[in-house]
Amino acid sequence: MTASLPVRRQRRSATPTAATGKGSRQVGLLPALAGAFALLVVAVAIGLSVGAAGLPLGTVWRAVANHIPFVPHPKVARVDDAIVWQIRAPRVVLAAIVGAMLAGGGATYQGVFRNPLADPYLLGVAAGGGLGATAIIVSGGSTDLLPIAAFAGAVIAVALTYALGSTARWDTGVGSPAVGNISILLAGVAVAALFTAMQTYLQQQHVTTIQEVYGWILGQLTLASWSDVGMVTPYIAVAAVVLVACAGRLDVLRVGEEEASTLGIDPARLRLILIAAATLGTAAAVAVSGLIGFVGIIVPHTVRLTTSASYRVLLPVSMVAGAAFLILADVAARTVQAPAEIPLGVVTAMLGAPFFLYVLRSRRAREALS
Amino acid sequence: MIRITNVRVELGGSPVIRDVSVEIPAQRWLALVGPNGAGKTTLLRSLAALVAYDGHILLDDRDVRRMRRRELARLVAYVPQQPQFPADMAVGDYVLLGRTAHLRPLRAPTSVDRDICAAVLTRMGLMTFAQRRLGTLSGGERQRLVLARALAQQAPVLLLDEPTSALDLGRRVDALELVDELRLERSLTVVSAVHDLTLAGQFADTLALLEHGQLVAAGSPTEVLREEVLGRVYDTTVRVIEDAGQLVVTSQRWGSWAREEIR
Repeated sequence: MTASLPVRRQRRSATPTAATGKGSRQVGLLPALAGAFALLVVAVAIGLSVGAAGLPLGTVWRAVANHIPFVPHPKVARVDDAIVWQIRAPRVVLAAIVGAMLAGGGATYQGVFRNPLADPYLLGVAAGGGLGATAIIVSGGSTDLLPIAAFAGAVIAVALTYALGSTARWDTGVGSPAVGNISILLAGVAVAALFTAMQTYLQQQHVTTIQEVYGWILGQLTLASWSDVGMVTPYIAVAAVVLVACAGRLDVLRVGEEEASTLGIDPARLRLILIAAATLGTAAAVAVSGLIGFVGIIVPHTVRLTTSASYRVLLPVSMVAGAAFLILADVAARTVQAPAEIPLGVVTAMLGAPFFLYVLRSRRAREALS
Repeated sequence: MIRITNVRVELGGSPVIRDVSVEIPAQRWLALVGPNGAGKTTLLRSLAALVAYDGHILLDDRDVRRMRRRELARLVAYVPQQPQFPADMAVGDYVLLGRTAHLRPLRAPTSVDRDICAAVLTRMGLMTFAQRRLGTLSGGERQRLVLARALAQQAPVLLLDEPTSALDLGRRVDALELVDELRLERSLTVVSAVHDLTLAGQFADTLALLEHGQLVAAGSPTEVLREEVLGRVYDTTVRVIEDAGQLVVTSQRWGSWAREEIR
């Protein structure tokens, strides 16, 4: 047998012709990942270098080198080292982790629900996290408890959504009563509305803390520390491994759940695994960063439009690009009005809203929604 | 050998298939025929374990309901009536979906999978389209493509739900000839739902005529394609003409004389 289907990395060199199809625009995994990693390196460099202290680039790099094992440790002033390693570095790393998770979660939900406008907060993570955080803030609880409460609220909200949605029975009209995406989505709407109402009620009853609650809701990484990084990394690492490992299965779901099942997939099981992993990671991200919107929509769609619609490419590349995007957004959040900071959610939304409208008007979105 | 025994399906509380029993020997072609709503698609979907049913469907003495999805997909490939074609998916990637049941858990397709898909695409005359997006294909190309995906599954049983519904007359014959060639080449057992009785009689070894979910007649084309049976089931005047050893089934138009008589 001599003929073989080309592997993805060969496709970039393919010239679009009548035979290959006008605008086939498929970029393989390796070139796409290489591009995203290059962007991430630049973003990390900017994130570490830019700040109120105005440190020279050389000082920044010497401070970083000081903490890398097996390389010579140059001399750096203790205060400069602290600025770079204790203030900027954890913030950059946390932004990268959170951005990767939000972008990966968004791409996953778009695949699971076959909806280009799905984001990682779709099933109630935001409402549940918001309620948990608000409960701690208004009750005057320790701020150490805030991430735990937000995480717990987010997980409880999605678990409730899934439990209610997956026990609802729909007669599909073509087969046995099926547990469908629609019932889960509708349950998500109901649970989010309930949790948001409870959060709003708490907020209204404690107006003195309203600014603090809003500060959390709009998302921020101001107080990022290495302990935050250590806290969320295990959850997000597990979630990322599961999502990337299942990326190929998401491609099968693109032909619909019924066809996917005739191809050898158990759609309900796959959906449960992906929702559980995305929820775990997103809830951890929300716990330390608050609600940062639009990353889960902007990044996957940009990757989809510029590289490939295949989730084998889209998912890992979105995670790397999401990391870079949130680092840069955070740089903007802390420098545009320095020394004041703009909430990170405001920055991503200001970039995201116009893009969201563009996606809504795009042909691909119309095709996917039709 | 596929053995369907006393299969009964209810949808929304109404029986759609009623105690149907039929056997399909290996490497033969059974065409399910009957008017709209007779239960052809539902019976095919039962074979693919896509609907809940009472009774038994055994594939080489194994209950299809007890098989895992992955295992069943290695034995049964299903071409639905209206397959979904993600517009921005490449043709090659679409055919690779047919290898899903053969991939090791969480692994990407290997060079063996790619070679199998390339061979199928070449066989179907689609290899030059491998990098085209699905949104750019014609109806006929899509029909061949979904068949290519099913062949990439390398399953010994092929279920086809109205495989030629979107094609013109010439392409219909071409597509069914192709299925028949593939059946002989690959020793496939084919079960198809077909509306066109003439084509069903020309290509299938056995016909199963369904009406209101019940099996009305089963046997060779000459046994099933009889004017009095078809006329009753389809509630119209049917002519069955033998032409060059093949049966041609036509409906007869109500002429002006008939209208006059009604008046």
